[in-house]
Amino acid sequence: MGLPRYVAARVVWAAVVSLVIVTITFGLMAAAPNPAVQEAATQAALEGGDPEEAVERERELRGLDEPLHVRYADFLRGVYTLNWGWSDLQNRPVSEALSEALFYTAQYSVPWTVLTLLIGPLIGVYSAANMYSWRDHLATGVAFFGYAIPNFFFGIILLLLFGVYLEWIPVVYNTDVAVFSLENARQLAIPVFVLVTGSIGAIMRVSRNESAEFRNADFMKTAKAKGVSPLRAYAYHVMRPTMVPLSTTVVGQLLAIFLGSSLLVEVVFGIPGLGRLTFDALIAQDTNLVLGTTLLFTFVAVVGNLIEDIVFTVLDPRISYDDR
Amino acid sequence: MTGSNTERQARLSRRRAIAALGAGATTALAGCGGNGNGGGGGGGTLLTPEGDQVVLDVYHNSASETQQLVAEFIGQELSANLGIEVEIEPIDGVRFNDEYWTAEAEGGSDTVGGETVEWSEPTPRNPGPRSVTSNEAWDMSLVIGLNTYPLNPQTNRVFFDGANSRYNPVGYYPEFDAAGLFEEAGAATTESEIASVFEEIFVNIAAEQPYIMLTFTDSITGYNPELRGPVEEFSNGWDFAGWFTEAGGADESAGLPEDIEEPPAVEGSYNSVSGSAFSTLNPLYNTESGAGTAIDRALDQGYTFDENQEYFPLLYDMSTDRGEVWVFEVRDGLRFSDPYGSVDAETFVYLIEELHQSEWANTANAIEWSGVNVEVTGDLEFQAELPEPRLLWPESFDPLEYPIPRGLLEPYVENEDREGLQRNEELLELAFTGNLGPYVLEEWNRGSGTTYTRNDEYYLRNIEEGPALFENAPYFEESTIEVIESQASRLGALETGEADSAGIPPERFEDFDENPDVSVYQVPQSFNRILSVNMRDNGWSAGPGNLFQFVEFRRAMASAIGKTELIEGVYRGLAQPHYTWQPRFSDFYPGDDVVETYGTGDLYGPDVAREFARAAIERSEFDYRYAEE
Repeated sequence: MGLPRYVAARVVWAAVVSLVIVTITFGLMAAAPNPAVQEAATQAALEGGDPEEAVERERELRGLDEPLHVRYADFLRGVYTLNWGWSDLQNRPVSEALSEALFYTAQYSVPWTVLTLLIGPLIGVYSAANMYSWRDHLATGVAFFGYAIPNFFFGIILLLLFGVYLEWIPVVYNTDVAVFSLENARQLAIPVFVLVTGSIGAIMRVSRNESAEFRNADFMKTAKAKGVSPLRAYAYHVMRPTMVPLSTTVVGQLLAIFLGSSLLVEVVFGIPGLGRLTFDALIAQDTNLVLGTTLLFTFVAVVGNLIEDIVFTVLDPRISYDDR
Repeated sequence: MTGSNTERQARLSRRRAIAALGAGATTALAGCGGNGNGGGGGGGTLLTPEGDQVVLDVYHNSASETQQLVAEFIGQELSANLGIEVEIEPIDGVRFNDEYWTAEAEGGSDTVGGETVEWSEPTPRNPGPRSVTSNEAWDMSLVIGLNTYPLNPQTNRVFFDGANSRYNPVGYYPEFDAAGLFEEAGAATTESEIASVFEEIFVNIAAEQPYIMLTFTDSITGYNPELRGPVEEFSNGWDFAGWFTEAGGADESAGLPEDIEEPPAVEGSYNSVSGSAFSTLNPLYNTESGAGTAIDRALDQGYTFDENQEYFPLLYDMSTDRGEVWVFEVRDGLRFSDPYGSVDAETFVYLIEELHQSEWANTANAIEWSGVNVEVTGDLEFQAELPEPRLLWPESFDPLEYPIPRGLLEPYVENEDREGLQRNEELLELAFTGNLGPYVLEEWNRGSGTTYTRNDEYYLRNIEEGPALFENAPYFEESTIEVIESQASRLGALETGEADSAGIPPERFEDFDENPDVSVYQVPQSFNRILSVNMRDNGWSAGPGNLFQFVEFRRAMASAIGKTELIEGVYRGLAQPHYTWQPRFSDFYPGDDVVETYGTGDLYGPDVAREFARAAIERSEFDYRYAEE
């Protein structure tokens, strides 16, 4: 099997996975009582009407009286055409709420992810190259500090220091500034810094240990014997095999910390992003919005895994596509 | 109420307290000498009939550090002054409400004051007689605080007009004719009659302590020191449209100047912060106070109350003779944005009849207009006939309305389309407000808040009433409400001047009070802090019987907890003592000379508290006693 066919197979598999998840979600929702129907019954009872009649009317209005397969087909159509219903929490369509929140989240999560993926392995390899020296200890200390200190606490401290006392950055997040502007960079610098320091620790440690294995490998000895500079030797011969196992965990790890970390950082810095939206939707029991955020993260995870699989095979040419 | 009436109440009230104590108590009271001699103990512990120490639990909201401190303070006071040991139980507020505070409404009947009382319309917050209890047993609680409605105390009827009132989770059976007095207040046709009846009600509530009343906590707000307008009064903010900034600082508590030679310059932006985002800005369906503030920046409501707590007409004036028929005079010159035309009597009558009184729309104000007959009596005049007279109707805020264009509502009324009405873009974005608000809503970012620009055509400039500063209001080019969920960030914004106002937690009061970049205002408010004692059958876990059911024991509790000490020790002086179901700034507060001021002066301390407790024990069929007896 060649690379194109392998990629095609993985894409089809990703589509199947997403369909399975959407189906399970539909099953759970169909089994759960609909809050709007319950509300209609309560309202009817309060106003002296007939609750059962109100329930029937509401079910009819929402198409809940249709057969299950018809509702399933409608649901699938809705999900894949991005018609994800109305959010009562924000009083607008769910897709609109999600896209706006994603717009603000992306502004800090893209630089956060890029910087984490660049800096984490670099510090790891640097540590490995200077193993047990003060440089290694310093790099490890910094990475562990960032990993250990809770993001929201670190965020508040830095906001007080740079926002309130030094007044270098604004305390109130401004949604009106242009995405690619100095003002936006200024207000996002601390959130990105907090998130990067929080996430490079694990990556740095894995890459340090991985690259330590290759430091004295035969191909490194050959490279050194041929007079390759240490920088080139580490960049070309150590970094690449180090990234192979990392690539299998990085996307998953980042997705895992994405929701939790971004919620707290968004709360502290007042960024109206996905984390806050998801949390608020859960607290307010806004079913459509919870479903929307769940589906969004599901799709991101499915696509992330797809990219991970592809990157994995590109990085390591020893991997065969046969039997996959 | 006349002076002689007040004196009579004072004498009655004092005599009742002394009579309840008996001769020994008179000696004890005389011995106290008004020195507030709390603490120090005054005898042994309170024992159950089995000879065990009386131990009771007190619940507090686990999310509130202040409540925990209050609970600890109460534990010490009840131990020292009443010989009761207290176990402190933190609990989630929602859980307390669901499992402890409310119960399944069963109804039933009981004998109260020798008469049979029927619970024919039980509610979860008064599910029936004392035998009907919540799922979980509890003795005392600090979790719930309530409003005392100082503008319209008749609203307190829900709490106190008899054992079967709508809101009575604690199982309080009044020993005075509460229902009769509230009935009398409702039927009163003059304001002096109302005042007289309420004085009697509040004197009795102070004496009976249906809840052990502790404090009114002040609302602490920080403002930009250059801002003129805020005052340290309950009415703070009523004249917001006239607020302006004055370089060099303003005299705190001065409010707006009464006379001006020329209006201040219109400049800058007024920025405030909110701790949570708004779900809707649709005036018909909003029930949140934060979103209400955001709506009010762009759209006025019918009326407000001024610094003297007197009715101030905004969109309409209201008048009545005897409280049954109210005439509304709509102000001339009010208009919506194109194409909706002007605001007239028909605007409000259509809104009330076709939406609030409909079966399908379920608007936020639906209940307020139930049973009210409205009709247009002129272009700018309509009247409302109430099922029973209500002289304090405006003070209840029930007839408070936003104007909504008829043309906007009609399609939804025809189709009875509630969902469509809730989701209407023009309502959600306040795109119809014309000259009806100080600012025009420019953008509502669901996550980060609202931004407004000055409304150059604001109708308030042309009215004759109110401060002179209204003539060119408002005085900011822009206005914003930023949603910042983190308290630390909100306070940071206040310190750096990015926000012109923000709430300050009591523990940060001193920091900000000393900060020259922030002016701190201590604004009294009407929500109380009470110690609820459970008089229902699952409410006294110490032994048989339930001493909370006796007025004397509740007085003992109130006398054992020092209010001054509580305010100084826990609230850092940022609270007011709470003696009866009205704050002291209320026009309906009977006065310290009339109400029993339990927990202060000679009604505070171990001697007086134990004498009250002994009087309660005498009424109990069970043999509770103090250890030394």
